Amino acid sequence: MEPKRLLFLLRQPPYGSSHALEALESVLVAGVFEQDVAVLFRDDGVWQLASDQSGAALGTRTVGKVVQALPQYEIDKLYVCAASLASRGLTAADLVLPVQTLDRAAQRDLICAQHVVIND
Amino acid sequence: MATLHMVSTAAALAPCLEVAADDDAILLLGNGVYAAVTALAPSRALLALHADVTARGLGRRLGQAVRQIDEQELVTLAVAHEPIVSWR
Amino acid sequence: MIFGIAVHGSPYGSEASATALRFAKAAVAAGHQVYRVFFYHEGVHAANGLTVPPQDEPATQAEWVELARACDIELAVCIAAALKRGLVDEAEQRRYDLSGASLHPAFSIVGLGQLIDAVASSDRFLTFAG
Repeated sequence: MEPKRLLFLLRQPPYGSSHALEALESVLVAGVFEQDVAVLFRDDGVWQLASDQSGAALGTRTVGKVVQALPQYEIDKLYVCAASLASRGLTAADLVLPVQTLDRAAQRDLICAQHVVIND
Repeated sequence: MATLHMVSTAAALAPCLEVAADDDAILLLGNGVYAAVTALAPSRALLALHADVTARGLGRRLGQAVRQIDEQELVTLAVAHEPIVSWR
Repeated sequence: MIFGIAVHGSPYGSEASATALRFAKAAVAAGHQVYRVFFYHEGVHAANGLTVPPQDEPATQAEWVELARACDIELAVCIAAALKRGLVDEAEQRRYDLSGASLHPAFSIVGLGQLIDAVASSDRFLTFAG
Protein backbone atom coordinates (compact mmCIF):
# COMPACT_ATOMS: atom_id res chain seq x y z
CA MET A 1 0.00 0.00 0.00
CA GLU A 2 1.43 3.35 -1.01
CA PRO A 3 2.31 5.44 2.05
CA LYS A 4 -0.15 8.17 2.93
CA ARG A 5 1.06 11.75 3.30
CA LEU A 6 0.41 12.28 6.99
CA LEU A 7 0.90 15.62 8.74
CA PHE A 8 0.97 15.94 12.50
CA LEU A 9 -0.32 19.40 13.45
CA LEU A 10 1.14 20.13 16.88
CA ARG A 11 -0.37 23.16 18.61
CA GLN A 12 -0.23 22.19 22.29
CA PRO A 13 2.46 23.38 24.70
CA PRO A 14 4.99 20.75 25.81
CA TYR A 15 3.95 20.52 29.46
CA GLY A 16 0.71 20.96 31.40
CA SER A 17 -0.77 17.80 29.93
CA SER A 18 0.51 14.65 28.28
CA HIS A 19 -0.84 15.63 24.86
CA ALA A 20 2.52 16.74 23.46
CA LEU A 21 4.43 13.61 24.48
CA GLU A 22 1.62 11.31 23.40
CA ALA A 23 1.37 13.02 20.02
CA LEU A 24 5.14 12.75 19.54
CA GLU A 25 4.94 9.03 20.29
CA SER A 26 2.41 8.66 17.48
CA VAL A 27 4.76 10.63 15.17
CA LEU A 28 7.52 8.12 15.89
CA VAL A 29 5.22 5.16 15.26
CA ALA A 30 4.10 6.68 11.97
CA GLY A 31 7.74 6.82 10.94
CA VAL A 32 8.31 3.20 11.92
CA PHE A 33 5.30 2.24 9.80
CA GLU A 34 6.92 4.04 6.88
CA GLN A 35 4.26 6.63 6.22
CA ASP A 36 5.24 9.91 4.53
CA VAL A 37 5.33 11.94 7.75
CA ALA A 38 5.59 15.69 8.21
CA VAL A 39 5.22 17.69 11.41
CA LEU A 40 4.03 21.30 11.68
CA PHE A 41 4.50 23.10 14.97
CA ARG A 42 2.35 26.21 15.37
CA ASP A 43 0.65 28.32 18.04
CA ASP A 44 1.75 27.07 21.49
CA GLY A 45 3.18 23.96 19.83
CA VAL A 46 6.27 25.98 18.94
CA TRP A 47 7.21 25.85 22.63
CA GLN A 48 7.95 22.15 22.12
CA LEU A 49 10.97 23.31 20.10
CA ALA A 50 12.30 25.77 22.67
CA SER A 51 15.79 25.18 24.03
CA ASP A 52 16.63 25.01 27.76
CA GLN A 53 13.70 22.77 28.65
CA SER A 54 14.17 20.52 31.67
CA GLY A 55 11.39 18.01 32.20
CA ALA A 56 13.33 16.79 35.25
CA ALA A 57 12.10 19.83 37.14
CA LEU A 58 8.64 18.20 36.94
CA GLY A 59 9.89 14.62 37.12
CA THR A 60 8.95 14.03 33.50
CA ARG A 61 10.62 13.55 30.14
CA THR A 62 12.01 16.60 28.38
CA VAL A 63 9.81 17.15 25.35
CA GLY A 64 12.50 19.16 23.56
CA LYS A 65 14.79 16.12 23.65
CA VAL A 66 12.11 13.95 22.05
CA VAL A 67 11.66 16.55 19.31
CA GLN A 68 15.42 16.82 18.85
CA ALA A 69 15.60 13.05 18.27
CA LEU A 70 12.97 12.98 15.52
CA PRO A 71 15.47 13.15 12.62
CA GLN A 72 17.26 10.11 14.05
CA TYR A 73 14.04 8.19 13.36
CA GLU A 74 13.93 9.62 9.84
CA ILE A 75 11.23 12.13 10.72
CA ASP A 76 12.91 15.05 9.02
CA LYS A 77 10.05 16.98 7.40
CA LEU A 78 9.76 19.35 10.34
CA TYR A 79 8.13 22.74 9.93
CA VAL A 80 7.31 25.64 12.23
CA CYS A 81 4.94 28.58 11.78
CA ALA A 82 6.99 31.76 11.37
CA ALA A 83 4.31 33.99 12.86
CA SER A 84 3.87 31.73 15.91
CA LEU A 85 7.61 32.01 16.62
CA ALA A 86 7.71 35.75 16.10
CA SER A 87 4.69 36.50 18.29
CA ARG A 88 6.37 34.58 21.14
CA GLY A 89 9.71 36.33 20.67
CA LEU A 90 11.42 33.15 19.45
CA THR A 91 14.01 32.94 16.69
CA ALA A 92 15.78 30.01 15.05
CA ALA A 93 18.55 30.38 17.63
CA ASP A 94 16.07 29.50 20.39
CA LEU A 95 15.15 26.12 18.94
CA VAL A 96 16.56 22.69 19.77
CA LEU A 97 17.10 21.80 16.13
CA PRO A 98 16.99 23.45 12.71
CA VAL A 99 13.41 23.58 11.45
CA GLN A 100 12.06 25.08 8.26
CA THR A 101 9.89 28.11 8.96
CA LEU A 102 6.70 28.49 6.94
CA ASP A 103 4.54 31.52 6.35
CA ARG A 104 0.78 31.13 6.29
CA ALA A 105 0.57 30.49 2.55
CA ALA A 106 3.19 27.75 2.78
CA GLN A 107 1.32 26.15 5.71
CA ARG A 108 -1.86 26.22 3.64
CA ASP A 109 -0.05 24.47 0.78
CA LEU A 110 1.45 21.91 3.18
CA ILE A 111 -1.97 21.03 4.63
CA CYS A 112 -3.60 20.90 1.20
CA ALA A 113 -1.02 18.36 0.05
CA GLN A 114 -1.78 15.86 2.82
CA HIS A 115 -4.02 12.80 2.83
CA VAL A 116 -4.46 12.94 6.60
CA VAL A 117 -3.80 15.48 9.33
CA ILE A 118 -3.61 14.33 12.94
CA ASN A 119 -3.66 16.88 15.73
CA ASP A 120 -2.39 16.66 19.27
CA MET B 1 -9.40 18.54 -3.24
CA ALA B 2 -10.30 21.18 -0.64
CA THR B 3 -9.71 20.73 3.08
CA LEU B 4 -12.39 20.37 5.75
CA HIS B 5 -11.53 22.13 9.02
CA MET B 6 -13.41 21.07 12.16
CA VAL B 7 -13.15 23.77 14.84
CA SER B 8 -14.31 22.69 18.29
CA THR B 9 -13.47 25.77 20.38
CA ALA B 10 -14.16 29.43 19.63
CA ALA B 11 -10.51 30.32 20.27
CA ALA B 12 -9.36 27.89 17.61
CA LEU B 13 -11.17 29.65 14.75
CA ALA B 14 -8.59 32.43 14.39
CA PRO B 15 -5.59 30.09 13.94
CA CYS B 16 -7.65 27.97 11.54
CA LEU B 17 -8.51 31.02 9.44
CA GLU B 18 -4.81 31.85 9.16
CA VAL B 19 -4.18 28.75 7.08
CA ALA B 20 -7.55 27.92 5.55
CA ALA B 21 -7.78 28.33 1.79
CA ASP B 22 -10.69 30.31 0.35
CA ASP B 23 -12.42 27.20 -0.93
CA ASP B 24 -11.87 25.11 2.21
CA ALA B 25 -14.91 24.20 4.30
CA ILE B 26 -14.84 25.31 7.94
CA LEU B 27 -17.23 23.60 10.36
CA LEU B 28 -17.76 24.90 13.87
CA LEU B 29 -18.84 22.24 16.33
CA GLY B 30 -19.03 21.82 20.09
CA ASN B 31 -18.22 25.09 21.80
CA GLY B 32 -16.72 26.25 18.51
CA VAL B 33 -20.22 27.35 17.49
CA TYR B 34 -19.90 30.35 19.81
CA ALA B 35 -17.50 31.83 17.25
CA ALA B 36 -20.39 31.90 14.76
CA VAL B 37 -22.50 34.51 16.55
CA THR B 38 -23.07 37.77 14.71
CA ALA B 39 -20.75 39.78 16.92
CA LEU B 40 -17.82 37.42 16.36
CA ALA B 41 -18.31 35.69 13.04
CA PRO B 42 -16.05 36.66 10.16
CA SER B 43 -17.65 37.47 6.80
CA ARG B 44 -16.28 34.28 5.36
CA ALA B 45 -18.74 31.41 4.84
CA LEU B 46 -18.85 29.08 7.85
CA LEU B 47 -20.74 25.95 8.73
CA ALA B 48 -22.06 25.15 12.20
CA LEU B 49 -23.26 21.83 13.55
CA HIS B 50 -27.00 22.17 14.15
CA ALA B 51 -27.22 20.09 17.33
CA ASP B 52 -24.53 22.21 18.98
CA VAL B 53 -26.14 25.47 17.81
CA THR B 54 -29.56 24.41 19.09
CA ALA B 55 -28.33 23.19 22.46
CA ARG B 56 -26.70 26.57 23.07
CA GLY B 57 -29.67 28.69 21.97
CA LEU B 58 -27.76 30.26 19.09
CA GLY B 59 -30.20 29.54 16.28
CA ARG B 60 -31.25 33.17 15.90
CA ARG B 61 -27.91 34.63 16.91
CA LEU B 62 -25.66 33.37 14.11
CA GLY B 63 -23.79 35.55 11.65
CA GLN B 64 -25.17 35.99 8.16
CA ALA B 65 -22.55 33.85 6.49
CA VAL B 66 -23.12 30.86 8.78
CA ARG B 67 -25.05 27.84 7.54
CA GLN B 68 -26.16 25.07 9.88
CA ILE B 69 -25.62 21.45 8.88
CA ASP B 70 -26.47 18.11 10.44
CA GLU B 71 -24.38 14.96 10.81
CA GLN B 72 -25.56 13.57 7.47
CA GLU B 73 -24.21 16.59 5.68
CA LEU B 74 -20.98 16.33 7.70
CA VAL B 75 -20.56 12.83 6.27
CA THR B 76 -21.09 14.21 2.76
CA LEU B 77 -18.52 16.93 3.46
CA ALA B 78 -16.04 14.39 4.77
CA VAL B 79 -16.35 12.39 1.56
CA ALA B 80 -15.79 15.49 -0.56
CA HIS B 81 -12.78 16.94 1.30
CA GLU B 82 -9.25 15.77 2.00
CA PRO B 83 -7.55 16.20 4.39
CA ILE B 84 -9.81 16.77 7.39
CA VAL B 85 -8.14 18.90 10.07
CA SER B 86 -9.27 19.37 13.67
CA TRP B 87 -8.66 22.58 15.59
CA ARG B 88 -9.19 22.60 19.34
CA MET C 1 -15.98 5.17 1.67
CA ILE C 2 -14.06 3.75 4.58
CA PHE C 3 -13.70 6.10 7.52
CA GLY C 4 -11.13 6.04 10.30
CA ILE C 5 -12.00 8.03 13.43
CA ALA C 6 -9.89 9.21 16.36
CA VAL C 7 -11.44 10.43 19.62
CA HIS C 8 -9.18 12.58 21.79
CA GLY C 9 -11.55 14.03 24.38
CA SER C 10 -12.93 12.34 27.49
CA PRO C 11 -16.65 11.52 27.83
CA TYR C 12 -17.56 14.25 30.30
CA GLY C 13 -14.66 16.61 29.68
CA SER C 14 -15.67 17.13 26.07
CA GLU C 15 -18.23 16.33 23.40
CA ALA C 16 -15.69 14.45 21.31
CA SER C 17 -16.99 10.94 21.90
CA ALA C 18 -20.67 11.89 21.60
CA THR C 19 -20.12 13.86 18.38
CA ALA C 20 -17.94 11.12 16.91
CA LEU C 21 -20.71 8.63 17.66
CA ARG C 22 -23.30 10.75 15.86
CA PHE C 23 -20.92 11.04 12.89
CA ALA C 24 -20.27 7.30 12.84
CA LYS C 25 -24.01 6.53 12.91
CA ALA C 26 -24.61 8.97 10.04
CA ALA C 27 -21.76 7.46 8.04
CA VAL C 28 -23.13 3.96 8.45
CA ALA C 29 -26.65 5.14 7.61
CA ALA C 30 -25.28 6.61 4.38
CA GLY C 31 -23.78 3.27 3.43
CA HIS C 32 -20.17 3.95 4.41
CA GLN C 33 -17.95 1.80 6.58
CA VAL C 34 -16.20 2.80 9.79
CA TYR C 35 -12.96 0.82 9.95
CA ARG C 36 -11.77 1.64 13.44
CA VAL C 37 -12.44 4.18 16.17
CA PHE C 38 -9.14 4.91 17.92
CA PHE C 39 -9.48 6.38 21.40
CA TYR C 40 -6.34 8.31 22.42
CA HIS C 41 -5.28 10.90 25.02
CA GLU C 42 -8.24 11.50 27.38
CA GLY C 43 -10.50 9.73 24.89
CA VAL C 44 -9.49 6.38 26.40
CA HIS C 45 -11.92 7.03 29.26
CA ALA C 46 -14.72 6.14 26.84
CA ALA C 47 -13.66 2.53 27.37
CA ASN C 48 -14.15 2.48 31.14
CA GLY C 49 -16.44 -0.44 31.90
CA LEU C 50 -16.98 0.58 35.51
CA THR C 51 -19.00 3.71 34.81
CA VAL C 52 -22.58 4.28 35.97
CA PRO C 53 -24.05 6.89 33.63
CA PRO C 54 -26.89 8.95 35.09
CA GLN C 55 -30.31 7.93 33.76
CA ASP C 56 -31.00 11.33 32.27
CA GLU C 57 -27.74 11.61 30.31
CA PRO C 58 -26.87 10.05 26.96
CA ALA C 59 -25.70 6.44 27.02
CA THR C 60 -22.82 7.13 24.66
CA GLN C 61 -20.77 4.10 25.63
CA ALA C 62 -23.71 1.72 25.26
CA GLU C 63 -24.43 3.21 21.84
CA TRP C 64 -20.79 2.81 20.74
CA VAL C 65 -20.92 -0.83 21.85
CA GLU C 66 -24.14 -1.46 19.96
CA LEU C 67 -22.93 0.32 16.80
CA ALA C 68 -19.65 -1.59 16.89
CA ARG C 69 -21.47 -4.88 17.27
CA ALA C 70 -23.99 -4.16 14.54
CA CYS C 71 -21.48 -2.79 12.02
CA ASP C 72 -18.32 -4.71 12.87
CA ILE C 73 -16.37 -1.62 13.95
CA GLU C 74 -13.27 -2.01 16.11
CA LEU C 75 -13.30 0.19 19.22
CA ALA C 76 -9.57 0.49 19.86
CA VAL C 77 -7.93 2.06 22.89
CA CYS C 78 -4.24 3.00 22.84
CA ILE C 79 -2.40 0.84 25.38
CA ALA C 80 0.07 3.47 26.55
CA ALA C 81 -2.62 6.12 27.05
CA ALA C 82 -4.93 3.57 28.67
CA LEU C 83 -2.57 2.01 31.20
CA LYS C 84 -1.41 5.28 32.68
CA ARG C 85 -5.05 6.32 33.11
CA GLY C 86 -6.16 3.08 34.74
CA LEU C 87 -8.01 1.55 31.80
CA VAL C 88 -6.82 -2.05 31.98
CA ASP C 89 -8.17 -5.32 30.65
CA GLU C 90 -7.74 -8.65 32.43
CA ALA C 91 -4.46 -9.41 30.66
CA GLU C 92 -2.95 -6.12 31.83
CA GLN C 93 -4.45 -6.61 35.30
CA ARG C 94 -2.56 -9.93 35.55
CA ARG C 95 0.61 -8.54 33.99
CA TYR C 96 0.83 -5.68 36.47
CA ASP C 97 -0.80 -7.50 39.41
CA LEU C 98 -3.53 -4.88 39.77
CA SER C 99 -6.59 -5.16 41.98
CA GLY C 100 -9.07 -5.15 39.12
CA ALA C 101 -9.79 -4.75 35.43
CA SER C 102 -11.69 -1.72 34.19
CA LEU C 103 -11.91 -1.99 30.42
CA HIS C 104 -15.33 -2.55 28.90
CA PRO C 105 -15.12 -5.87 27.01
CA ALA C 106 -16.28 -4.33 23.73
CA PHE C 107 -13.10 -2.24 23.55
CA SER C 108 -9.67 -3.61 22.58
CA ILE C 109 -6.34 -2.43 23.95
CA VAL C 110 -3.99 -1.91 21.01
CA GLY C 111 -0.69 -0.27 20.17
CA LEU C 112 -0.21 3.03 18.37
CA GLY C 113 0.46 1.05 15.22
CA GLN C 114 -3.30 0.54 14.99
CA LEU C 115 -3.75 4.31 14.72
CA ILE C 116 -1.38 4.35 11.77
CA ASP C 117 -3.05 1.26 10.34
CA ALA C 118 -6.40 3.06 10.56
CA VAL C 119 -4.90 6.03 8.71
CA ALA C 120 -3.44 3.77 6.04
CA SER C 121 -6.57 1.64 5.66
CA SER C 122 -9.23 4.34 5.47
CA ASP C 123 -10.24 6.70 2.69
CA ARG C 124 -10.88 9.54 5.10
CA PHE C 125 -9.60 10.01 8.65
CA LEU C 126 -11.24 12.40 11.13
CA THR C 127 -10.28 13.40 14.64
CA PHE C 128 -12.86 14.50 17.18
CA ALA C 129 -10.68 16.56 19.46
CA GLY C 130 -13.19 17.83 21.97
